[in-house]
Amino acid sequence: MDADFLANWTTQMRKGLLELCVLAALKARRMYGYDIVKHLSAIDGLVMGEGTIYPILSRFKKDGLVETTLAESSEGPARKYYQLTPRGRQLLGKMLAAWAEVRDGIEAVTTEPLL
Amino acid sequence: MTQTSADLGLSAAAEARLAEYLVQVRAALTGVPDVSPDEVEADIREHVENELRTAIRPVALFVLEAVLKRLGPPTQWLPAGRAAPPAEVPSLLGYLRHRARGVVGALWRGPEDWRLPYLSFAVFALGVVAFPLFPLFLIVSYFLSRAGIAVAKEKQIPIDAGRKWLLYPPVVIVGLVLLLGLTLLAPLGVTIAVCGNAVDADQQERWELAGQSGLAPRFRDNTALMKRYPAVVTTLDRLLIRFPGNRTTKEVGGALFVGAGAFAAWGAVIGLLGARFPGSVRAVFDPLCGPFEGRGAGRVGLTCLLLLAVWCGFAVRILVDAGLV
Repeated sequence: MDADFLANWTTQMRKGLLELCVLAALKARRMYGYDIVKHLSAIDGLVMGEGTIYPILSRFKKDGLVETTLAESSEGPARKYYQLTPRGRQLLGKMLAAWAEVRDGIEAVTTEPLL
Repeated sequence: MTQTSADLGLSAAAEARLAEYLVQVRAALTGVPDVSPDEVEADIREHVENELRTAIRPVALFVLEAVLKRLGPPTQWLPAGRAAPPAEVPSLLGYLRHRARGVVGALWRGPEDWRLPYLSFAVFALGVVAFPLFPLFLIVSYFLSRAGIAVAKEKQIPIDAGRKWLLYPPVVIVGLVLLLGLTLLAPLGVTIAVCGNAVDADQQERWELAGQSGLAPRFRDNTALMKRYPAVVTTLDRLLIRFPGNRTTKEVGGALFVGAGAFAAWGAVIGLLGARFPGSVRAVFDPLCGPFEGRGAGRVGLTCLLLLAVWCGFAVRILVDAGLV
């Protein structure tokens, strides 16, 4: 029971945070989808399956948070690069602010001594 | 962007496994309206291609399995808070769309890829059998081959040895004919025309200088009039005076000199045109000329231009010696 609950809770938490991380990865520059996956997969405990990121990118694109551009690649076919739209950038700012608030709140709660 | 699994160089077992995985991807994403299954499938294919870039071909099943394992089960890909759809086929429309995509994919991956190559080769072979009509069949098979090569490029299907044997014969023949025609026909034609006219004009001039009127009689032997009027010196005689040997050798030398000038001038023209429009050269001779760039053609053009300048120097000297300048 505890194990199931923990697994489900961890999965849901990661999914929520992963969306923030995908947007944050694109904050500074446009990125190739595969590179986003590899970049985020390198963070321990964040990505459960590399494939998880692609539906998020697809959804963000449909929601107008990211846009894609095709760029020629010397290694094969043209590559699809993702970049933040102004709306995505604005949302990322709000999400980061919300995350900081939550993180500080959690920090405060979890550092209280156990009774 | 989307590639067929045939492009990934997968073994049959691995190809079947990837197809199965992609079906799972589509099933998992059905019912998630804000995600495009087509786009995700294309991304997954690109991901797999990147992961397998250095793998030994054909890619074995266990190698692909490792990649799919890292991608994770598609059932986990739903956004946070979304429940997975029921395992059964979600809707008749979705099922039909899925089947239709399968059929299209199978057609592209399957023998249909070979349709144009086989058609081109069949027309070419038919032309060989019906020989008098060969040029007509050759032209048709040439365009079919070019279409087949273009399709293969567009679909990023490698043109392997089998396809080359089917597609290349008409392309090679037409390419060679075009190449020879472009490089040889014009200067050869000019040389033959100039030399023919020079001989005719020489006979007429000799006839008139000998005090005869009207048109000079035509002789099979060009030197017949010379033998009849040995004292007469024509413009051509004076022009050929710088060339060594007897009369025949001088005429051959003169013809070669004219030919050299024509080839140098034509080489300069097509070389500089090739340098200016390398894309057109690639389009005409694709895929035989490979990564043709204008630099090589430019070098040929400039060399020919230099040779033409040297040729002009000799030509002026010949004209001066002949008293024509």
